Amino acid sequence: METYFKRLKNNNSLYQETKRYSHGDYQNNDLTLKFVFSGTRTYKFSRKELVVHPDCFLIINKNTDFESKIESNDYVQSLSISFDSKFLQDMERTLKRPAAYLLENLKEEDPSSFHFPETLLPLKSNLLFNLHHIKNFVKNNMNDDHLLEEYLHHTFINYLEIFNQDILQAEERLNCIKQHTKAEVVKRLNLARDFIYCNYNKQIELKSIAENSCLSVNHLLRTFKQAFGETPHQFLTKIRLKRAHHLIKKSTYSINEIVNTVGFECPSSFIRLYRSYYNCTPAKNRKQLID
Amino acid sequence: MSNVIRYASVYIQNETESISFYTQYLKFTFCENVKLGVDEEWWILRKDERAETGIILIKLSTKALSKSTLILHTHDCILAYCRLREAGATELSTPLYSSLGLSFSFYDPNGNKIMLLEERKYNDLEI
Repeated sequence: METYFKRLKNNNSLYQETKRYSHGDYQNNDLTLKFVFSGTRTYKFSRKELVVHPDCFLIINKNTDFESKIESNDYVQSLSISFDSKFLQDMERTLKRPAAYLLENLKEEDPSSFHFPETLLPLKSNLLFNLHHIKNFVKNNMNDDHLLEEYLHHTFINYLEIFNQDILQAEERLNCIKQHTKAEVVKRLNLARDFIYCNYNKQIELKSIAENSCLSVNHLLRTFKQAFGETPHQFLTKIRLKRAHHLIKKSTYSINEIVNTVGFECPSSFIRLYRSYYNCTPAKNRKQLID
Repeated sequence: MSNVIRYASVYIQNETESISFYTQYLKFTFCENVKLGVDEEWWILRKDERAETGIILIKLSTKALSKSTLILHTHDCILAYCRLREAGATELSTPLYSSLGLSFSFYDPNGNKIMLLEERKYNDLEI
């Protein structure tokens, strides 16, 4: 069991732990991003249960109390990054106000209005690269607060990039007229994505995805494609393939075991889909990684 | 015919100041001084003995100074930015995201632009 904690002068903090078992109730005092590098970690809050895998991450707002659980045979490495209210307040001012205004109004004490949807989002783009650097920072036990401050600053910028792409732009892509309706539909579509992220290894039907997102099957199909550019089934297949790919890279499970673990019904359809997605068969890919 | 690029060149006016800049901030090592006739002189810098590409600082006695842009690879742009700031490098631009990756720039004593680029392949497949 390993833990690493660092609170910086600006009160932003980073906590990494590697455990096989952990269970507790927490009071979230700062806006926090939750990642895992290996294994899975479950979070329960606001009557929902979300499972964070290495390909996605979760944001939990300030003052959202949550329960967190790790229960695994293998070690689970997870990372939390928390942002202090004053840092968020400063970021919000910098993003919203023009430079001239900021120069003349040095001390404005409006509290931050940042409040983000507590949903699973794909871990991708610059956030993924930045996390690799942070992981190395912790691994090499680097004692450099200025560098970590810069990494965490960029982590928040990178989060905003994903929030913009996956939430705000998804709203804009919807054909509804009213902004309020767009926001409500995307909120429900995120419930659908959360359901797929957490139940990817089960034989889930469109009807159950629709029920869990409070949308009709037709409405779900139409709006999901508009917002995210893919159908729920395509999204589910992508998640299964990514998680299978992760297991091919990081585990010693046989291909057949992986097929069952990620929810594919038969190895032949898995191999066909895997090859079309990664331009390589699973066995070849594993061999290349070993070599 | 070989198409391998061996040197990137920048024009300088003052070799002492320039060599000091490239060795102190960018961790190059001065390797060799070469005189080409009476009007041109080179200073060759490399990262290490085995590095395939080096930098040549060129000083001309007859020609007006022209400015170059040197783009250097870094595996971690934020780390490089912090290290340079600690070393006292001035006028560092804020790290900027682009479709190539993350980069920032600053200037050598002769006004040549030095850009440090962390190339990022934004490929959704490798998570």
